[in-house]
Amino acid sequence: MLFGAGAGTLVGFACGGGDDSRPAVLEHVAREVAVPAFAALHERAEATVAAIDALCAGPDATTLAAAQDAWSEGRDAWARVLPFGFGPLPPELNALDFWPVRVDTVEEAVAGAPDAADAAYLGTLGVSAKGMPALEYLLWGEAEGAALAALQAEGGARRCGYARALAADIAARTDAVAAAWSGEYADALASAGSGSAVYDSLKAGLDEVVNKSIDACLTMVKGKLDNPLGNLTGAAEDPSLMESRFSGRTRADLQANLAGVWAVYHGADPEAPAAGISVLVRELDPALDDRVRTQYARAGEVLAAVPEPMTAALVADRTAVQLARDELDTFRRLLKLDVASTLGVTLALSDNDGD
Amino acid sequence: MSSRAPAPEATEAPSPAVPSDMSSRAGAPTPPPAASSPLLRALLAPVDAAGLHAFRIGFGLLMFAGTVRFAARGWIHQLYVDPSYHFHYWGFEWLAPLPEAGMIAVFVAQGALALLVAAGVCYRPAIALFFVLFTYVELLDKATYLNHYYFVSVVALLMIALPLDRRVAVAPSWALWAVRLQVGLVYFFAGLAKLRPDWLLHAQPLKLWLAARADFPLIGGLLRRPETAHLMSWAGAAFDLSAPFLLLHPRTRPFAYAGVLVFHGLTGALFPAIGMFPWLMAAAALVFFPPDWPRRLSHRLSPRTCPRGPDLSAMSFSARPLLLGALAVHFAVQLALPLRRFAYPGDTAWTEEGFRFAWQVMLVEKVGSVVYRVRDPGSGRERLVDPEPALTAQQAKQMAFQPDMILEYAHHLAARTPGAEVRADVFVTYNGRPAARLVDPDVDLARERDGLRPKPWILPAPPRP
Repeated sequence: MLFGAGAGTLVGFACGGGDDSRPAVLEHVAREVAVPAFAALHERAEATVAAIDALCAGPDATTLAAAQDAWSEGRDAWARVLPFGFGPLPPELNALDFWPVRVDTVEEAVAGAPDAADAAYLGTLGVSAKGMPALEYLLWGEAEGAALAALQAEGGARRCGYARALAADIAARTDAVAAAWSGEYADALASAGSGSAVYDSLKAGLDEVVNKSIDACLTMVKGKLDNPLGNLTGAAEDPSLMESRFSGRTRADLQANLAGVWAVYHGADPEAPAAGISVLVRELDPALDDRVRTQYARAGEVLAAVPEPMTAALVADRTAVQLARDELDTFRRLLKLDVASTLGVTLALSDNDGD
Repeated sequence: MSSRAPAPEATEAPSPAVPSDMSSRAGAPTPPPAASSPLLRALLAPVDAAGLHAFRIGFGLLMFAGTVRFAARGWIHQLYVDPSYHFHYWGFEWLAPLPEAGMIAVFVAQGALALLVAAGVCYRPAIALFFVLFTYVELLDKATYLNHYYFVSVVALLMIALPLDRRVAVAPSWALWAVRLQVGLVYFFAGLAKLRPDWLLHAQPLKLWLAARADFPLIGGLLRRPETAHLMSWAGAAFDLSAPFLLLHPRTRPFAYAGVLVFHGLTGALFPAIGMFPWLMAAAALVFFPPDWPRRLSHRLSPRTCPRGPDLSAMSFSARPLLLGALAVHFAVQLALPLRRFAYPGDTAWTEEGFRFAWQVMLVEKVGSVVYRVRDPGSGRERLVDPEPALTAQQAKQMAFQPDMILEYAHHLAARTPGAEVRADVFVTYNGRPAARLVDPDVDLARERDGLRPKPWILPAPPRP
């Protein structure tokens, strides 16, 4: 009865309730973070195609460096969309980012390629011969100077043609994903709980965004660091299990991953006032928001302290790599436990477990 | 239900005579010896069985609907067929799921038995078998524990003793009071469990849960306000503690039952995931109405129907010491289980010791993270094991904050590497507190045993900031 009376009183005061900030946050994450991030990814993928065209037209150190820069910029954009592993992206994930690279598979694909490799040829190949890491291998090779030498040697044109086909494939796939995000998917997320075709409630939309940021952190910790550190097997460190090991930008990828997660948490502009998940956390628990910010800074700091290339640091300075891993994991735990719990993202009451 | 109805307890008048059988059917009285004590006389007094039949029918139909819902949502496979690993209850490690066809057969049988219970046909064998099958399923995996599943098992066990075959017109008073006591204990202990600082002073976990429902129609904005959580916490505790008593008193009963409907309606609407629990409790609480309430309601809805029940003066029941003794043991256990948490040190909502089978309902919002460190003493190598990939999402979520499940999985890992030392880094958020370690990271869990004793390797609950 008291409960009923209380509920009745609440209904009486219903119109006085505070505003729900979740729609604005989801709107920001969808339209100001995700859409520009995917647009940048596609734009840089197209730029990589152009750079490889120039490389193929005249393979020398300058055009190769330009192609490598283009790839690196594309990779940076790719690393920033890690927290958006939902919606249109998952079907393209493997084809865009299969690693560790299987060098033999890529070399076989190059050897078997026609003079002008195209989408039809790529369609006959598995994901291990495609994507950004395979292209990275072709642009850097396993040793310094190896890539340029291979491109200038006999069969270099075919090799470059294959690289060009890979870049075009990446551009086509990122175009499709960016188009989907700028169109209906941003609408779906921004309108969660208000007629969205995908998210029937605000909570569903927020669950997706927060959980995928947590997944992104888990990928960084477990997939990108625990594996090469040997933490999952007790084996010795293995640099060949590191991401972007040919280009030597393993750390840069991780930093861009972290920046991508931060864009979801803080908002698109790191210098502007918060507009992402942080807004919701701050409303409910300002101290927690402060802790998240402190830990983000700490993780970024120790990560930046690991010398690049990280493949060398893994062996020469394992402690630094392990410390970066541990601080990133603490950041992940903050999101998974404290933030998710505070936002009601992972409730004890789920489909079959509540009373 | 009607204010014009005769005094509710009028149909529970003690009988002067006590004949033979607890399941006495109308028209078969025999002269008995008088019961020796007033309490015994009251317990053996005949009552109209209509209310108990309504309870049986409601229970059977809800169980049938629940079984169909369970199967339709794919939970038979998801929870019992697909998982390669199950978390066992202490003492029931030997229990295992049947193969796919067997589990499906169990649920088919369970649904059919629920219908038989609702129909009152072959009642005793049906409810007994239903109890066995339902409880078997619930004991298969600790990760699926729910208070209302436990409630179903307990009520089904109790119903085996009740004379509720459809041909029974008159029942002994103890049958009615047994059900009332069982339902009343749930409310009372659920209320008692809420008398904690988290619930009363910090409005947790309602503050977290309600804020997540800010898009709820009409009152959504209010749900974000801390004062709403405080008000609802206090109201919820007061409701749980007082409901059985208010439902017993004729003057307060209609208001109390309205409160039951509002309470369960609101919790069902705010937390749709609690499934059939609100329906179950709303139906069960009807047992507090006079035993002939269905007859009165029927007459009120259709005045042509006869409002009179069976002639109770011709009925009486004899004492059956074995049965009454079994009931006494049952309720002693029902009192002891919720109270056992007071025998454990620390905050049992954090340690989860004495937490199950104790009506600790809606008390905690926890999220955990577990990573094991498995060290092979032979090679000296240590590796990290994330249990999530090997478990279902439900198992992974539940085991991440329940110490006995963390221990059991540690033993599972140890068994795969003979002699291995297994330690765990477990962090848990608890009702809005910053995440803290749940388990002593230096303790080799492979050497620890499960049991009823307090687990010294569980670290104390973090204080509120």
